[in-house]
Amino acid sequence: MTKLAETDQLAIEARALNKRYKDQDAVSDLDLSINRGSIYALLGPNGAGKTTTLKMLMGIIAPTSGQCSVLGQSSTRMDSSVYQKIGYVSENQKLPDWMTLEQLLRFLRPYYPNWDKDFLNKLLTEYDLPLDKKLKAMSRGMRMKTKFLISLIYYPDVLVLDEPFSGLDPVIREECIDGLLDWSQVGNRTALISSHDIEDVERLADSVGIIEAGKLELDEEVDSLKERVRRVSVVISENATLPPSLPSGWKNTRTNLRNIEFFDTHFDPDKSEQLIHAILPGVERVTFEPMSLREIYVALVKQNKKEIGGKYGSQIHN
Amino acid sequence: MLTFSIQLNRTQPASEQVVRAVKRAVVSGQLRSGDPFPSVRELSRSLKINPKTAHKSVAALVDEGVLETRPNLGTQVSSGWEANQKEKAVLLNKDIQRLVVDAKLCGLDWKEFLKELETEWKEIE
Amino acid sequence: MDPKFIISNVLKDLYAARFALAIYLVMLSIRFVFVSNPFPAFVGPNHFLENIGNLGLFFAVSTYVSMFMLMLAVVAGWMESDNLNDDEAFWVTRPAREKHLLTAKIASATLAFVIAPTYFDILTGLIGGAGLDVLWVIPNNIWGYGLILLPVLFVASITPDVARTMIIMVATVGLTALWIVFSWLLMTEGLRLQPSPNWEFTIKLILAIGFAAAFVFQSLFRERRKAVKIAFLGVFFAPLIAIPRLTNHQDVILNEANDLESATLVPAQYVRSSYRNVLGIHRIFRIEDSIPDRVLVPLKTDSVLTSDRGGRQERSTNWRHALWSPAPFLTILENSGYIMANAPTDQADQTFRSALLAFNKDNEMKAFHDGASLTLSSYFSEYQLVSVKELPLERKNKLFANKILSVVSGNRFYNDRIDEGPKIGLRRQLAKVGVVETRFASSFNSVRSDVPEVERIGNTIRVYFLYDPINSLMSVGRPQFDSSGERKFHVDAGSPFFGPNMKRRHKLLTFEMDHDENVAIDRKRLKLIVIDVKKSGNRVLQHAMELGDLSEQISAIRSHQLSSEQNDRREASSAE
Repeated sequence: MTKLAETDQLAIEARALNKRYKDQDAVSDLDLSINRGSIYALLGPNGAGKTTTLKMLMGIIAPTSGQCSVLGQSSTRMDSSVYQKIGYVSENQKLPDWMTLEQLLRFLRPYYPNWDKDFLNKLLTEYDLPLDKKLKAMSRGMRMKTKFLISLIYYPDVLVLDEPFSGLDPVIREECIDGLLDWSQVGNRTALISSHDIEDVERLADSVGIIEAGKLELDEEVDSLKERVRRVSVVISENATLPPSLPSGWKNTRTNLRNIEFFDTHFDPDKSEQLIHAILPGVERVTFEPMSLREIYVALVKQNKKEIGGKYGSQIHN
Repeated sequence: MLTFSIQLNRTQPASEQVVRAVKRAVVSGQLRSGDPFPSVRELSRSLKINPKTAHKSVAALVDEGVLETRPNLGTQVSSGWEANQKEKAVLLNKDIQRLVVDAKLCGLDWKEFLKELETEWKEIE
Repeated sequence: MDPKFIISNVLKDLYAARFALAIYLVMLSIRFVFVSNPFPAFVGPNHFLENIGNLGLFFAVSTYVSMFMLMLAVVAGWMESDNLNDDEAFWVTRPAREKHLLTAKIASATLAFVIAPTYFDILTGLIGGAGLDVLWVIPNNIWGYGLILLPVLFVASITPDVARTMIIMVATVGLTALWIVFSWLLMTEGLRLQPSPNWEFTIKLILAIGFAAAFVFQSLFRERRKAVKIAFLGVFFAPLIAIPRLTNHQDVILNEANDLESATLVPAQYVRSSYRNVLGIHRIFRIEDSIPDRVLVPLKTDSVLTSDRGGRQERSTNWRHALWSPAPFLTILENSGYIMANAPTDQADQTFRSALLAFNKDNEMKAFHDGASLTLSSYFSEYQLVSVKELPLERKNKLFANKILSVVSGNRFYNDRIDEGPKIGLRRQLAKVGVVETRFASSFNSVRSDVPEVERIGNTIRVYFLYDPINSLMSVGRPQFDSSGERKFHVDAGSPFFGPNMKRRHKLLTFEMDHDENVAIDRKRLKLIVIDVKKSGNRVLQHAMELGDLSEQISAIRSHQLSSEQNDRREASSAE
């Protein structure tokens, strides 16, 4: 049970974080708490503010207002001792191209007390990276593996990955994930992965946050999210009419003849069916289907946006 | 390679799927008592799932008595576990539903369906 | 800050630039060879054009220019290779943070572009026999190279790529050079701009304004962090900009000039060996801590439009009276091994003037010009050999005296001047300067077309004439040497020879000098003056001894020639 005590501590925290570029809010009032030991997926379309958020967390850019911290250290005041415990991999990150991997490793090694030679050798073999090749001459996949390698081998407590898998072919993606999983086995390691592609991170993450237009729309554990959201199809007797008000947990209700479909966001295996029978008249058959993260994302975020101002817009907006 | 078959879908929580797959493997005889069970690390790596999820599945299986941890031997399939009625129902529920729907689609009637079932059953035994 | 970070970074940088650095080291060695051996003079901007064909000079200048460009490229490359101003840079989330990297860059640059040349300079100094004084190279080089390196580091840290850094730096240096050349051309055309700006001050001012502007710009439009970076660098620069100002570095002599009536300071410069010049005499940190072996007398010669060499107007010395400073070339390589600065000579003139006035006050003006009364205005239109009587430097000297140095040690007259640098733990010792009795030779007012050139190689002095002074009909006058002396001359009968600057000259005479002597020439009157400067206790006395009268020897030669010609004719006629 020592783990619980540790997970009480937050690895990453953001409070009322704002970043404003000229007249545009890149991130607005973002609150984020990531427990130690968690693998957190920050999902959202391109341009939603994921990268900006991560950069603020990493202390690369300063927030317009609000605070954020990693491992208890405010991001705006990070020093070497904190960066020794953090790994950061980003899609656009520049590498010192003129170096070979070997030179880069030799250069980096003195900075990290936790440098793990065995892990390095293991990863080098698994990733099949040439030590004597200039980074400049490496393919995109090799460069990404290099970025993973140089961010994993000192066993950082926190790993922040910005779109790490985008544009990678499946084999390389799997290799990267293997490295990531290896790293996460030992100790109580926290990862924050941003992605615009849910399936990249669906099984990796235990918690998920969805960011849209700079706002965090959802922040929950994956399992509980999957447990509580169901696609519900109800077949009712003919000429059924919907009652004027529906529970707020029912999203995106659609009717077609005798079929009613909606997303139940407060699914409870014991009560939901009874509730449906109580609310909807003449229920003949009810089916609950679990949904994938992508479907949940679409259901909870995308549909909301489309339907704002629509029939149940006000409810959905809650 | 894992010692039990599993095909993860995207809709259900991964830990639940692992638990169910292991139980099914035990029921179908793919796993037998005393068989070593993969470590959390192996499980996580082979399925590409969060180590916490893997840990959760193993913990649940140990809790329910499907697996047991022996000092120095690691985790293995325990001898005493027998799926109870409710669990069996849960385990089969979905599959039976799919089976019935498929059988109907194929145009089998009840007797033919039973016969097919019987043949299969005997083959496994 | 862990030194491991710095070392790791420095090694990385040095490795990355290994080829460029190898070339740089080769150039340093070339420079080392130039300096430690007699080599054709790098004569300073005013003589630059006429020496453009001089291969050695060309070599020296191009080495310096290439070294500068290489340094620029390497340092800019280092800065940009780590994308110091990029938020996608690899290191931004690494324990190597800005300050580490910046420190590492400065360390790398110092190692390659301060320590390496300093090493060669120390070698040069040791070979030149400078002894412990060689250590003066260190502060001077830190100062000198720092002024070049820091702007490069700064510009590179705020520009996105090497190309832009190069463009900015080359443009800055180029524009400065253009400005200098332009002002220089103006001066040779006789235009005098007053009051004169001081290039050193102006450059520092531009730097300071540049910093302020960059700071304001960054804080207004960009990231605050960058502004802080600039402010940090600005603070670093401030003392560099301010120290010379605070110590009255530039204003010394002008102040003195305003105080002419009471002026008693006489500039003097001590030289133990020629290499002390390399080590610190014209540098910002100077050698002042010991009484030197030699005093270079404040002489003033060769000013303004002086001579007409073989029909060509010689205007090159005009700048000495211009109020604009000459170009900021720091060094002059010349045969004797001296390296001297081209310093702002208007101030030197002021010093000289104050010295004159001091004489005047003491009623010793007559010492100067062949009995004729010398006014300031006549001074400026004449060239003179002036030397100064022993003068007590009574003032509680707030200043170290500047000096004017005119030495005919190569093929030119050089001016040198010392500014008062920062007084960093240096004890000043002011010398009393002795008198050189000067008598000018009798009337040779019209020898302009036959100005001699004097070359010093080691202790050997060679005097060349454009035309054979003995036989040439083109010579308006005949050289004569008055007074009597003990010095032994070797007189060539005007044999054609390649003289200084590979110009065709007629070598007239050769003689040896003592180590403590220097030679000056009064071109107008064809008079060579050997200055013998020796230390005498605390007081330094100096003597100028005129060359022995050669007229007898010359006339002997002439009569010999005449007689041999007559003999020839006789023989010819007798043969007929």
